[in-house]
Amino acid sequence: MRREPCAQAGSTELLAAPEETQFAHINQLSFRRLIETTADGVLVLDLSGVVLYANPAAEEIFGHSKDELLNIPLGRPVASGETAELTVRRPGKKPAEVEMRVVEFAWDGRPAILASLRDISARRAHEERQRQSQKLEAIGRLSAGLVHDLNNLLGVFDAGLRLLRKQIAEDPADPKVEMLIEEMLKRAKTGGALTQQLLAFSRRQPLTPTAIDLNARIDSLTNLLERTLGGGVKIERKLDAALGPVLIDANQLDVALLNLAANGRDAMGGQGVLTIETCEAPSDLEDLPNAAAGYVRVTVADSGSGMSEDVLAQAFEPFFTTKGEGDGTGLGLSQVYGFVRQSGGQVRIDSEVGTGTRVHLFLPRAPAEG
Amino acid sequence: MSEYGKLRVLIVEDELLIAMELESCLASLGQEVIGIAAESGEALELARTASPDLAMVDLHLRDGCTGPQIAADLIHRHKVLVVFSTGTPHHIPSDYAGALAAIIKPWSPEAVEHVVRFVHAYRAGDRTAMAAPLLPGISIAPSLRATLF
Repeated sequence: MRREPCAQAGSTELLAAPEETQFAHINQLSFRRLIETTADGVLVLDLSGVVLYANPAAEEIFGHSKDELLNIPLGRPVASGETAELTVRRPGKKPAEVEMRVVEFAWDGRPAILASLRDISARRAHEERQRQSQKLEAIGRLSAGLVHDLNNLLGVFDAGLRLLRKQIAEDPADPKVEMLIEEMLKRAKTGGALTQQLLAFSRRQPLTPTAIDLNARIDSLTNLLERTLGGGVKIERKLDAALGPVLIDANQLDVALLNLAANGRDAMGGQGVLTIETCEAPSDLEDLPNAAAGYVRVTVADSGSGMSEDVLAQAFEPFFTTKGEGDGTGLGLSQVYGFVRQSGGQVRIDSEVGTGTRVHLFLPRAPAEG
Repeated sequence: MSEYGKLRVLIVEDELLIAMELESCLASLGQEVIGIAAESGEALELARTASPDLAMVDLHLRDGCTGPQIAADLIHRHKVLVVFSTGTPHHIPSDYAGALAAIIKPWSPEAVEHVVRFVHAYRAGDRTAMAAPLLPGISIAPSLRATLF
């Protein structure tokens, strides 16, 4: 990365007027070989954006041969001196994240544009993974801190209420009764501030919904899930191939599916089959806003211990966990719920003690294009 | 009404309601609360002026996580017995800073009674009474536990 500016300046100079440089003794063939061999993509465009020259690295980045690239417009306005990042969709390959820098120069005596391209997909993917693990870590840390504070607060209310009961039994007119109530009201405000903090955290994650292929997303997540869940959990996918795209924040969807899968694993004691299923959702579901485009359903099902009615009633509450101290943050399902609701969808849980749990996410379909 | 002797107890706790309830529990067990301190200075001042026998000490106080240091000072300089009262038992030093035991918040009045019974047994050197079962939220200092079981 550090040598980028040099490489750029050098290549401009070389192509612009090699005979004027200190490299004058290098012949034309050598220069050509340089450009053909460099790992960075090199494109020459005319001022209207039509490709005049492409080196092999550029062919690789675009997934098109030189012949296909030549004489077709790049399809993107280019301005000199600009560094742009673009997503290049390639036939039969994953899209590439490409950094493009552009300078003006002369090509065959005519003004032209020299574009240097670098595939930064791996770097972007790494950054994305880092962001995600940071987010999960942050949620864990946040909940640990808040759990402690809320636990303290509960202790205070506990003590306060017992004192109040005793005081009222002894002498309800004692000013101490009033004082206890005042003190507890004051502390309730502290509790309110804590929950505000949690709300602020959830709002601070701006959702950027895009139209995504749910099945493809699940496919790409399966690897990570397998590693996260351990060898004892088999993941089965039942994906409806005819499913259209959904409008959702892909990142948060990953976190939600991870949370659901982790819950499933824990409910099965680390041994069993976790099923991820996608299908069209019926259009007449209750408590779903009337989205014109309708919904698709993704279900994460385990064959684990299931939830009792009591547990089910609290399952979405932040910090509610049936896992041991230090094992669960109690924020998994609340993330799932918060995110899906914020995305205009709905969450349902079917669960029965002894037979397992099925969590259904109803996600809004992306409106048809045009 | 008390089956125990009367101890002079210092409460070191910055949560007013918890301190008040502890005071109320201790009083109903026939113990005498000589004062409530919310931080180090107050605790040591009360230890000097009111000579308590026992201090119930929270770890996190108004002036920070000063409970362990207060405990050490009370034990060594004022010959006071100490029991920690805390919601974060993993913050107790491994040697308990010389304290006898810890009671984990949120505690019940019954747990307070067990702790008081334990401290009286310790003062009386009654090893049988000390080894009596305690509620789950009470832990005895490891060095003391080693001599009992």
